[in-house]
Amino acid sequence: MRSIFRYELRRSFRDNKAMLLCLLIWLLLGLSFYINHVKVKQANTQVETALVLKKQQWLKQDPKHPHVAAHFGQFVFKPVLALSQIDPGVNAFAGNYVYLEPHRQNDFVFTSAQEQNASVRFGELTPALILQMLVPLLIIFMSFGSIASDRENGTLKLLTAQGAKMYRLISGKAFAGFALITAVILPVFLLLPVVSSDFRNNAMQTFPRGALLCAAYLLYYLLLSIIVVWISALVKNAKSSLLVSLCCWICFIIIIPKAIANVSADANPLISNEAFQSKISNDIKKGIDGHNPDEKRREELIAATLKKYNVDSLPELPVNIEGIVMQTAEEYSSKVYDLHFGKVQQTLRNQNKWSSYAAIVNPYNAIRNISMGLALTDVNSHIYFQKSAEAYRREFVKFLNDDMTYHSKAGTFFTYKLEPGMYAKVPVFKYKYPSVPDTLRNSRIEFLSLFAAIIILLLLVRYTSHKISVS
Amino acid sequence: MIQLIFKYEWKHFYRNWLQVAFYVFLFVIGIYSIGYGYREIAKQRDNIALIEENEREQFNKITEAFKADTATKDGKTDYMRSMLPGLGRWMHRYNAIFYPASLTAFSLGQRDLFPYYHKLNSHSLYMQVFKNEIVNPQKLLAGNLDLAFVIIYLIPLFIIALSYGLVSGEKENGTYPFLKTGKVSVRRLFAYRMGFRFLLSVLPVVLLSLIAAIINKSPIDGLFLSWLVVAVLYVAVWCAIALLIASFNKPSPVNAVILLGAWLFFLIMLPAFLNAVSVNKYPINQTLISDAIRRVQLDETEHGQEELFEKYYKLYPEYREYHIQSPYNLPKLYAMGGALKDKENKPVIESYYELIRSRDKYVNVFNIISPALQTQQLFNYISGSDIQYYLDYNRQLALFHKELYHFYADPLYKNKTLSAKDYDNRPRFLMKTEIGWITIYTGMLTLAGWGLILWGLAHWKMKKM
Repeated sequence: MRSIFRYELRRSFRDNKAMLLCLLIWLLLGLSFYINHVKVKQANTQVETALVLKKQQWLKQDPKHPHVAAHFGQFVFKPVLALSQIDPGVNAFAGNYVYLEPHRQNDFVFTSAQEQNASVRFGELTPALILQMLVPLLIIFMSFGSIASDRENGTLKLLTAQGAKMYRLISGKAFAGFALITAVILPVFLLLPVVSSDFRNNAMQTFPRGALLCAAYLLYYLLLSIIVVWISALVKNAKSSLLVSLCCWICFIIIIPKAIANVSADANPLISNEAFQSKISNDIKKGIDGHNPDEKRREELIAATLKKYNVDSLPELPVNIEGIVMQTAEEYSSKVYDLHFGKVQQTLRNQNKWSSYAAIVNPYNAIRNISMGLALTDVNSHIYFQKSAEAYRREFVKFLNDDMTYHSKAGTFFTYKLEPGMYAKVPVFKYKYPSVPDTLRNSRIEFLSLFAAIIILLLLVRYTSHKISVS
Repeated sequence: MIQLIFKYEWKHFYRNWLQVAFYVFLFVIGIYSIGYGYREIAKQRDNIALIEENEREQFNKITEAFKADTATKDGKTDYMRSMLPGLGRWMHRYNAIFYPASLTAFSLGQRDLFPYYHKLNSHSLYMQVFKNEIVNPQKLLAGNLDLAFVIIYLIPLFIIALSYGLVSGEKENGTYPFLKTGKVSVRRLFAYRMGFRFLLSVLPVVLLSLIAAIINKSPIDGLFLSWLVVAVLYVAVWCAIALLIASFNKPSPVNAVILLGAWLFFLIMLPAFLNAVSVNKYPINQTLISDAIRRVQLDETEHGQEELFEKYYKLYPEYREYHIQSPYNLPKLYAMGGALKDKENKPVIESYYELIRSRDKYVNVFNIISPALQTQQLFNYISGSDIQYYLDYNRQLALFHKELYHFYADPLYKNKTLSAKDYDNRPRFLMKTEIGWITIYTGMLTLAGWGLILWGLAHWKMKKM
């Protein structure tokens, strides 16, 4: 097998067309990487500048009542991870920042795709597009004739007559093609640490994620190399091999992923915003169980607070009941939000599960999901960020409600103001990235599918290759 | 002669089970795509019906409240909310809806990406305008499997599958020399054969479009006919590309690779590249808009309020004469604050929309070099799902909001109340859409130009065969 591997590599290096295609892929990778680097770096600078500005705005507020200050609100911007230079995933279609204020869990707004015309739906020029869609074509063009051409010109007969086993031929040629592809794509990943120096906030995440990303792509290419050479061995001639491989490319990369996304959305319909908002306001007003209206909840809270402080009337309370009412209402609305946002997030997960299961039969679905997951640009990462932002909203609103509760008296809404130093004491948003093991857990079906497909395919090649005709 | 060639071609076609399977697949996926487009638009129509119902209920309640028993707590609250502009300006919501057009289900375009309705109150516009429908970003990334996708992406693949061996297949089978000895010139023969492939490819396009029109109850009008013309021209362009490649006399696998390369270039690489260039050429900083979407803040100091009055009366001098000294009236102050906040942020928002417009214009300039981009833009334009309509919707939304603002600001500053009759004459949003027929005709001409030039080149090249 080693000699077949060496021979195939030499043949590929001498093949001008293959080298030209490799060069073309390099150029496209370089171009897409450069374009994305500029774009992502720009977005990163914008976010960092905005963060400084928003902090200044927050600290320089006039003296205000804590609740008014809470409505001045905070902005949370989605951080830019260096790996999004390789795979921006769903970033263009998911909101980039959110305005946090009391009572409401606002939408993430401003998706980049809304700022481009419909041509954005054809896809974006990113290294991920080249790595996931075009490199497979390169593999097809380099390997479609690997066995079929040998059969057509009689070399295959000679090779087998000399004792070469068919499965060794197939594996040797597949591994040779894979080695060449590795040489083509490796520079992208080696370049990553160099161009990631601008992304200080997440440098620690880039290395392990980048290494795993590289490993995942290599698995993908190994699988494709084996498939293409196997097709070349199974069909009659090089022409058929090329056409069958191209048909597979069209089906698995263009048609199936779109069809799966559409069918899964049909099977798991999302609620409309109108119905969603109306359910939330209804549950807040009438209670989640429908028998616990806000008025009743308020009365019960006042009674419980009086009892807790062992007093008979509100003026006797050592705390501001308005602050307690506000915070308790906040906590109740949070429960309602958790319920309804949880349902929406579950529907999204159910829709995307189809894409994960499709990975069992479609390597493109597998690599696309793994790649977005590791780059933290998939829907799971977006939901994770949404949850972190929401947790922070509750934290900063509680801080201000507590200030109102413990430092002011009831009926002083227009007179009580926060002390100037308090703005700086309000907690700041600290985003903890999802851990690498968590990401791997989310992509376990995809990773396992790639591994399993390679093993199954190698076994199939090993135990069925004797049936392959040599002439 | 044509009859004979077409008969032979038909036999040749149906004996190749792979091609027949692809043809059947086109119909099946075409039918699915029609159903998909229909369901997507039906969902939006259902949602619109719900929003309209909620608005009707709200205004019925507002009108009824004028007859309410104000001796009861609830009756009094309802009456106050209807009568006082200071409360109504905040609590009443007015629908602004961008309805789907008759052909939107054919080509969903940006319809799933932009909000297609707003429920506005008279407070700050920018606090309300940037919102999204609940969507799955991964599904948006995958795109819609609508009829436009089938025509733009899959029909060219069918043409490639039918035509990559048009000339080379005859050579590889050894029948080419016999064709040369025939009465009909080889050039004409291959033109007829490509004509058959053109008709075969046009058939699903026309049939599926008609089925889509029946299912969506779309009128057979100028727009529908434009859709058909654009679709047929697009098929013709791809047939011309295939004929031109065939005329170079290369082996079948080489033809297949070149045709697929052209498909890849027009449908994936060129749009992706143009998009990337437009984004880098016209960079947008979304973070600048954050101040516009923030809740209205009031300066609570006396000096701050004086400044607010001055700024506001400069913007709306008609209300100055009604000014009451020291009006510590929150609804008035917030109405002033909202109007001023929108005014301050208007340049940022306008430049944001201008940059989007520039990106759109920039990519559209290159439609001339890509039949796929041109067709996609025309389909979206004809279907009312192009970005231009959304930009126009946003412009009309701002005008409507201005009307809404004054509906409440007038009585608020003039210290009047609202009556049931006022609500009968309330502002209503009606989007006015103008179809730019020149854009459609120019696009059609571009596609026709592509077809003629490529067909002419192929014809000229085949002369030498």
